[in-house]
Amino acid sequence: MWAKLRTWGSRVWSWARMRRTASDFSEELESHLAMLTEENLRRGMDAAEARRQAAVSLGGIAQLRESHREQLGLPFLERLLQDLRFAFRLLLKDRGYTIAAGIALALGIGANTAVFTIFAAVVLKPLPVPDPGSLATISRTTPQRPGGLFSFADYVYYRDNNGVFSSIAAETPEHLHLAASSAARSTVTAAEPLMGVFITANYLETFGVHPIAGHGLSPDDDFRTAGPYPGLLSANYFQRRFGGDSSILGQTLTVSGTPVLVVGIAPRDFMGTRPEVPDIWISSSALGDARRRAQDRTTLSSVLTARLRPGVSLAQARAELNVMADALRNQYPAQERQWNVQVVKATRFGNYHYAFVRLYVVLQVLMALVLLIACTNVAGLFLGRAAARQREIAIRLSIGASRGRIIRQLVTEGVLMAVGPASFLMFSPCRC
Amino acid sequence: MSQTKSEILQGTLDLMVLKTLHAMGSLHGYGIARRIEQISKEVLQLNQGTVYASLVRLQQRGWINAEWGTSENNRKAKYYSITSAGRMQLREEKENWERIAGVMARVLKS
Repeated sequence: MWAKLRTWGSRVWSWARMRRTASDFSEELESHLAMLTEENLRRGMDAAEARRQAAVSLGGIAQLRESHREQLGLPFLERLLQDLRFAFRLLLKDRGYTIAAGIALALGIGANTAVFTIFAAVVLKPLPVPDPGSLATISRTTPQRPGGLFSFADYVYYRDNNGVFSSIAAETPEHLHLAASSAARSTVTAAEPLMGVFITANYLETFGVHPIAGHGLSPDDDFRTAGPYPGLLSANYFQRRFGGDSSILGQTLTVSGTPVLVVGIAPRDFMGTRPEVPDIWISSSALGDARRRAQDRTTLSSVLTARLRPGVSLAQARAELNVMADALRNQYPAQERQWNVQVVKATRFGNYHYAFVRLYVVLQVLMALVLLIACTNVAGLFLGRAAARQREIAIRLSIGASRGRIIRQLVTEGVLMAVGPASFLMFSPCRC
Repeated sequence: MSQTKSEILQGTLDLMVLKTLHAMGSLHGYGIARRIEQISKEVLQLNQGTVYASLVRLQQRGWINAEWGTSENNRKAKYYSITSAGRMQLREEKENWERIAGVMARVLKS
């Protein structure tokens, strides 16, 4: 109703100008009283009588002011503010209780928040690539290991026979070291550790990222049989180790005995599904050319990441891969059929995702219990206080406070108690 | 749309104030209260101050306007006047009342 809206708007407006409105009204009443008095004087009353009769006709001033005020402003808000002020003063008075309850709640809330914040920051954050929602991690699950790796042969099988992914890429992470070399212009004097990942040529493309300098891998690179093998440095490593000196492009580094030609620089902070930014991405042909590795069923070293075709859901992909896995499993002797295939949304944890989720759930439940205990403690404290306040409440009831009003005020106290420590934590300087 | 008794009473007073302003033009609080007393032939003995709650309500709904001015004997007073929205509301309420009165008359006569 339009009128209702107008009324409320007007109430808000008058609430903002409360004092002015109140003094205006006082003036109006004064004027009205004066006019009534004059009328009475005309009727022949004496001055004192005229004024008295005028006041009677007008009505009780206090009452008029009250009913006038009720029409203005926002009674709900005013009552709330009144309750809050009272609750705040009360909490300040019973300092011991407030501190005890505050600490209990702070511990409970803080513990939960900490666990969740870590989880959210690490696991829930989407990958910094275009359209992270359609990236999936495929893992080989066994009863012992839910997030297992595939053999290259498996990879080829899934890659070439599926209809749900537009591309599947494989990666094999490894700890490598950079040999001392004089070929690079910058100083590499002793063997340095390198975090490396061997990737198939379509890796960057599957994630939708492009090198920020130089170029990426081409499809032929998967089939190289001899070095130097093409590789990309991460921008992080490029800055850190070579100071952003672009002369490193085109140089060959010796990485764990293998010659690697630096053809490009990968974007800053790009880490695929690794938990941290690798130093170097090397063509997987360095592990053996693709044709040969496609025969290898036994070396389980590949992590698979796939991009869903547009319009294909994760559930569909899961179903299709299960069918494919079934077909593959039947080619195995009976005792080696313990494995299965799982398709999940890609996150920073790659195939360790489920392990982390399980860990998180356990921790969160524990912290929730801690919070529950804290709440029980605070409830006990509250009860103790309530017993001590029985007289105060009795007095308030007797002078006419409604039950609802008192309950509302007590609830406000409780809420203030809960919100206090929580907001302190939120705005405190120690944020992780 | 159920209304409490006080709301109905309020509504009735509001209507009387609206009609008074419509008939008399611009008027201050004292004038309105006086006029209502006159018209009701002194049957309605309300505290004159009760019109003010009414006036605030009518103002909030946008049916009347208020303006400070000077009265006949050079007093500062707030003058109220009806708006076009108020006139429309008055017409509606008048029709409502006449309808109710007609129905009641028929029922009581039968």
